[in-house]
Amino acid sequence: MTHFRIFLTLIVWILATTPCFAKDEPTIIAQLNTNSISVEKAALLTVTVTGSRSPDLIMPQVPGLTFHSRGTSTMINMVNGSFSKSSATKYVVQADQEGTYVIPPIAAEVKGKIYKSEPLSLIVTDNKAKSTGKAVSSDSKRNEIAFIELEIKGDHYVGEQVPVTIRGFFNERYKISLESVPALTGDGVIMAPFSQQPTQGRVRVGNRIYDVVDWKTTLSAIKEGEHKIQISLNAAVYTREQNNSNPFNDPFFDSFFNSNKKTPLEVSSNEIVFNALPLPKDGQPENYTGAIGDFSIHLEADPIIVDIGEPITITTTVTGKGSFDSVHAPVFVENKDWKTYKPSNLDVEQQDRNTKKIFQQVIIPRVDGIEEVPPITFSYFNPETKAYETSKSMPVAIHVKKSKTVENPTKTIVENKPEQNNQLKTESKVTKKKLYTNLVPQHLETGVFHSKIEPVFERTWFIVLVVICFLLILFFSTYHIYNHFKDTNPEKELKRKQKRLLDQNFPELDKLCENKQTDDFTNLAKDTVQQFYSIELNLPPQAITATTLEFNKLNNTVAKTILESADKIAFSGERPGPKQMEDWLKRLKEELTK
Amino acid sequence: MIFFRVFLILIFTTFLVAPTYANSLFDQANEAFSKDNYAEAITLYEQLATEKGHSASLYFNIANSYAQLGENGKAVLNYERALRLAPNNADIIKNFSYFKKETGLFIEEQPTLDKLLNLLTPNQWSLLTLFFLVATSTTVILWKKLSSGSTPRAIATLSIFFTLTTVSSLASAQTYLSTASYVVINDQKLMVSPFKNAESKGLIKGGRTASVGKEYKTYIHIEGETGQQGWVEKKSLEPVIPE
Repeated sequence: MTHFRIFLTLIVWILATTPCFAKDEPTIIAQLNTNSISVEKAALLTVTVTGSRSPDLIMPQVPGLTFHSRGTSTMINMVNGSFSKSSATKYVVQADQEGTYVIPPIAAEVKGKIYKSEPLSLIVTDNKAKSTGKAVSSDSKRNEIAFIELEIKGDHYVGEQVPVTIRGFFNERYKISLESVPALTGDGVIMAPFSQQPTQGRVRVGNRIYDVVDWKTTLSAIKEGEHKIQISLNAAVYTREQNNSNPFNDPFFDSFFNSNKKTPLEVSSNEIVFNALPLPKDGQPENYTGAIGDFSIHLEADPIIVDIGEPITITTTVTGKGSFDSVHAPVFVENKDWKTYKPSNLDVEQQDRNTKKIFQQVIIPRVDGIEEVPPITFSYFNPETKAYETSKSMPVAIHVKKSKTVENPTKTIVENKPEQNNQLKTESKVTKKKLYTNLVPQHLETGVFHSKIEPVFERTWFIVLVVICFLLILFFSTYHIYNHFKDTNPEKELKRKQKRLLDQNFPELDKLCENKQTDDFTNLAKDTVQQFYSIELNLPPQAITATTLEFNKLNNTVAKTILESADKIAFSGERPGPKQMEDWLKRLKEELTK
Repeated sequence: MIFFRVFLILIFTTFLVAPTYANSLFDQANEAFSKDNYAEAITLYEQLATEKGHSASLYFNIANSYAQLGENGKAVLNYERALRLAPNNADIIKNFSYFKKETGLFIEEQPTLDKLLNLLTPNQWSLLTLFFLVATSTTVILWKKLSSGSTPRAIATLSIFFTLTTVSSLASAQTYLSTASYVVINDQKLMVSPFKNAESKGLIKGGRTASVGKEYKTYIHIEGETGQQGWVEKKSLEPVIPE
């Protein structure tokens, strides 16, 4: 039972620790959603890597093909108790000109090893008629079921975020399910991801009623020119399939015996031309950094009463509508009165229809008597007015006092130049006001110094100790199990009992023989023989006689002689002489200890 | 004999002088900090780190100094280093959380399993596992001496505890090793390819942690803690564990 418990413990142990070490070999699969596209279309390339959630993909360079990353999704699967992770990275593939392209194997680096996919081929045609023909939803039956409407008015500028509403019309007479969100096909224009849930309604178009789903997003041209774009989505129409298995031949039972058939449906808008104009060169302000939209700027400073050399944090907020990716920090330019540091992005907030981007910059007054932080300007291109505009903040009133401690404020401590990796320069004793007042104070003791930052499980002594413990457990478990088997052998147990008996009685017999105590010697010798064989034959000692030994084919002559002589002594008084006792004892020792 | 005595005196003096020197430099740095002279404080703290090695309190003080200077990247880097040395230190955790909150840096919501794992630090999990391993091995070795009906039960119990702590240790170590190991020092443009004029994919804020991937010349591919990916210049990153 004890052995079984040990065995069970070891099994539980092994089972519990084994899955931690299980590891699958990573694989990489590259797939194109189509093998053939036209020049103005794009294909979707999906690279799936199993066995890693964040592989390093090495995309090949293919002359004439451009890969635009569309993000990575990761997944964890559990099959039969073992976990596997995978990632799928999507690329939009576009071609410059027609031809047959071969995309070489895409490599992924997972934990230092390189894995490669199979090469792919992509045929690019210049058949505009064919491609546009497919895109235009001229199929009247399809239009009757569902169609997409997208309207873009006027011309727009490269980089301008054009708000659009994609309207999906779905005939209420059909049971339709949406299989995807609208996707844009076309070169030169990108669509922002949908940040809001679509709204739903119902409208009458002609004599049909449609359920309408509105998605709001923005389109933005990434290069100038006339770009043909189209919006499409995948849906499915469920139609009832007539089934002749209705045994009652009654329409009432049709719903029980007919089944729904799911038919895939691609719903597309008409092809639309998105005309992207380049930004005008005339009138472009010097500080224009690429912002397109309609913005305003607000300036705050803190603190407003400072000594010379004491830093002031100015917070600039740009609010408005437009492309905030291209809104960079309005810079307070360094001059003889002000030392400035590089501004940093603080936050982006969405408020109703407006977006707010907040920047911070540290500035230090170099002279006393400054009464305001001068206004900051921010230039942008306004697509509504089709002109460059400049928003100017209000100045912020401050008071700069003469510092008693600062000798030369122009020598500053920090040169915030990223190119020089922010090397600190201790050139003067200029102090800086606390930015954070709620920090836990400095530690006053250094604590223990370590030569390396290394976790315990990576330290040699820990690994050696663990290995030693495992080896000891293995060795001693094996040793104990072996001994346990040895000790619990029934035959050996009997032998051990017999040995104990002989070890106890033989010295006594030696003494009796030496003292020539014949009766006692004969009785003890008889007892020894009876007890010895009672263990072996599993009989009571009294049952062991010369006949019993003979019956069990135990041809121990001296044992039989002793048993017979003991009886004779009891009945006839005939006793063995000293020499005979010595002889019996010698033979008994020889025969019983064999 | 005289030589031996001189040697002993030198050794003894070294042990006496070394901590005094470290404490003196540390005190000077703390004094500079208290006078809002953060740059000088940082110089002294970093001098001490170069000469004496790594200490959680030292990195904590450096991080606070950088935070006060508005050097978010360096502050995060040193808080991370301090946490690697003392993951449960309440002061470090408090200041780091407060600093992240104030600077709008990413604070990850931990899943329940991670919260359970974080009840102990990776080092504590490792030591607990070692304790149960040593206890199990001692019981196995002394089986004969302890020989009683409860010995197998004791071994089974210890083995179960050992298994549980081993699993937790491995998970904790895995989390420790997979934690982003670099810190972005300044706001950086994430680029689609490793070239100077490459298209930008957006900005990664100074102070965000990142794990690094492949390298190309002076550029390196990173994945930020918020999942942003792209190429940045190598010099814009610093490793949490100093090389």
